[in-house]
Amino acid sequence: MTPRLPVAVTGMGCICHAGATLNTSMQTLYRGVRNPGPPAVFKCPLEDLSPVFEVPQTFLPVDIRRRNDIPWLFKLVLAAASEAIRHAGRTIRDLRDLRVGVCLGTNVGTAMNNETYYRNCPESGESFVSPRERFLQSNPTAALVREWHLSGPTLTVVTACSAGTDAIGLAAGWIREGICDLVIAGGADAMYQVTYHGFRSLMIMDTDPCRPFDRRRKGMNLGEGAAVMVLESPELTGIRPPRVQGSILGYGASADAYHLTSPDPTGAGLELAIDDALRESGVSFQEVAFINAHGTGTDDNDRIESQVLARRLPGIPFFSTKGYTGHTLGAAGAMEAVFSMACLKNRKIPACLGYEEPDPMLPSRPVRENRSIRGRIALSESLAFGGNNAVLIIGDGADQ
Amino acid sequence: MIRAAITGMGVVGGFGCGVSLLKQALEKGRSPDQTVRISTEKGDITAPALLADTAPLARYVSRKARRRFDHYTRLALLGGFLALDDAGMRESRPGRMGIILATGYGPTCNTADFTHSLTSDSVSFGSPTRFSNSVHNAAAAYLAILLREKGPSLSVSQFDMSVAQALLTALIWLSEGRVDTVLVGGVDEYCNVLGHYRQTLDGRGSAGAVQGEPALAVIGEGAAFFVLSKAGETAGTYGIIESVSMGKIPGRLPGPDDGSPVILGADGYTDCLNRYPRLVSISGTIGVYTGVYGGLPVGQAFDMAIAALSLTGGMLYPSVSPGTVFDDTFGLPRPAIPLKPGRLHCLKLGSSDDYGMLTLSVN
Amino acid sequence: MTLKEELKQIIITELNLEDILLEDIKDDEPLFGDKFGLDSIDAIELVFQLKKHFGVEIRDMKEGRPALESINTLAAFIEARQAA
Repeated sequence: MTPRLPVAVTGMGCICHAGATLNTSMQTLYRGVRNPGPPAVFKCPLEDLSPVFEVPQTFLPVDIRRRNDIPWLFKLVLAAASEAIRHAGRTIRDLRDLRVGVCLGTNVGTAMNNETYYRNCPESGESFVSPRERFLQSNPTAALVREWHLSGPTLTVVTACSAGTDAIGLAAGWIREGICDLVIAGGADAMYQVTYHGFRSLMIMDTDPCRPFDRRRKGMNLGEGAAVMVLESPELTGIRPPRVQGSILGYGASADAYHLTSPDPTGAGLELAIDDALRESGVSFQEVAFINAHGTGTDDNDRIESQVLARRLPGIPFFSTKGYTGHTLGAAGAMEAVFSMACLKNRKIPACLGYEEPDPMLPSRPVRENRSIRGRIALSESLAFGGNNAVLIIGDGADQ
Repeated sequence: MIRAAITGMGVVGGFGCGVSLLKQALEKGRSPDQTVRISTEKGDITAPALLADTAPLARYVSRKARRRFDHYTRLALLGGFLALDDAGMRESRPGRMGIILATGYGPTCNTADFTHSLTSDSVSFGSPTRFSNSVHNAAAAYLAILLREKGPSLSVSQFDMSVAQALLTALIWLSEGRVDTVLVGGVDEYCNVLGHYRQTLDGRGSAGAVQGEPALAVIGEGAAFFVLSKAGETAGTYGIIESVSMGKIPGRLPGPDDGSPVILGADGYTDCLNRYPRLVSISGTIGVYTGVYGGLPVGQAFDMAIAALSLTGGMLYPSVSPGTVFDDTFGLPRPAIPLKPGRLHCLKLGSSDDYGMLTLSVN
Repeated sequence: MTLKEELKQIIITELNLEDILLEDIKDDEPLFGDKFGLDSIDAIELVFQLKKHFGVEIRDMKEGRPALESINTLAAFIEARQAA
């Protein structure tokens, strides 16, 4: 791959357990607080529950909260996307005259079998909603295009825990290839009983608030939310006073090709994705100011990530934000990308919440306190179920 | 946008396994008769279906290695391996390969099983193996693992737009130089849950007009995969993808009015019958082949395979439409018609006023 | 069917070891090794099956690993838990 032009990001939005907006979320990150609890959206008779990072209803803007015609997941998307469009200094009406693409990562948003449906009719077809109707209701990409009358193209990425990172990386390709004037890119996932019990069955959930990279770490906690970036073409940013928040410099993706649920212990796949992303952005690793690591708090993930970071990006400060948001799956990569861009802007990175005791088995360690940074480039990485790796190189927009 | 050469094709469906059986079905104008038994509260119902047999996967994957694969994964693997075999790239590939898998339903049976165990069984809370297989990117991950391919791997799922999305991404990856080759395909499986929807609604063995959706196609499942490389660098055994476009239908689709034939996607879910003539102006001959592979969200992948076979064979196959009503509306050709060397479009109108269109040409 | 036979049957059925017979699994041989090709997903699947069939729970893989070594250790683990 050869270096490609940076793609301008003009707006960002985020809604998660840490905050109703990107700004409030960043304040929570810098304050170093969290308050996860037992799942509220579904009943669970089990003991030893892993706490979750849900989004309170009150975080939603009133007009979105009051809607009863759309599912919870889409409410989250609508909140984050509305914030991002506002942040970009645009209105939804502006978008109708442009070639606007939507590229979102999700897991729950493409599950044809949602719970309500199963509760109502596990075996009979009597109260069926058609698969088409079900899809129309639950897919956040299709829903956003319909809601705002956008022209497309669309893409719904379902690469599990790296979907949000992939979505932003692929969206940057759309701008560079001249397919779109503007892309709404990011990810969203909602708390869902199936995913909760799925990860529980895989025995990788911590019953305490998660502790990324800590010696005592016992797994992840689930979270929910949505995060969105607005990417714009040079033609578009050129014809009005640009409000550039940052830029996407490069994207790299790879497969471990190792095992469905265990990451490759050598970290070779992750390294490939890092190399590709750096190559595409044309920056050397020494220019990277910090790394927003995947850091789920599982034994394997954190060990392999720590090893790859020590080997490939030595000495660069890193942290995981899963301790503030939980693992928001399809939204996680997008959330971490907007956090990274906000950190570049604020010139400050947050402490890796949950990390207290160093693990002697890990060759690199995250930051324990907030730290100011000087550089202009960040790296955000995601390691997914199935061995998917995805990396974004994020700039502060000085290149625009 | 860059053009991509189709250097290999792998298909499995109700017509059988492999390109030659697909050709045979197209020539005969039908796939072998099959039925499926759907259990309902009112007892079992038998319905016509075009189901895919994945037994030939044994050629490529040992019993030990495939023991955990569900039907959905087997379909994807078989489609992928057949395509790579066809391109002569199963054992080794020059450069780096990306894998892109499109699905409308995802691994529905597994998801259904896992979800059902959650709602019906308060003790067990679901099997981890089933949960793992129900994650949407599991099949693409298995492909990468078996092929030892560390290139980018992507899974996309947006019902009937998934195939256009996957192909658009494949072209961009080739254009960016992210990969040298892309293995891209669509897969959907049939499961009892879907059978319910289609068959039990009016109790007559054919899905009724639920929410204005007439069932235009028999149940289908299968996988259709393609090996793509940059056109120009490689000769396409099956022609060239000239462009992939998608978006919202702007009133009336300006659409494929260059006189080239158009293969229309009619999956039986969207109200194609009324929508196509209302929204599309087409000057060329129309072909519809749902009757060969059945109704499924990734039907456009099969349409693309049929388009490639038509182009390279110089003959537009006689339509195998999902119903006579459709024939009359469009005046679909019954006999095969010679195809002037040139182009062919595959158009799918989506469920949400959107469309995906592929344009193929001979080399 | 003895407990050990029952365990073998569960392993063969639930881990999809199609061509393995009951007598192919020796009571004292390692379950996780080259012979059966079992891996980490099989280990957690086995934990799930133990809970489903025998009501015994393993909450942590670190503590569970010794119990999953062989048919003998599995049987001993279940008997000890059920007696408790």
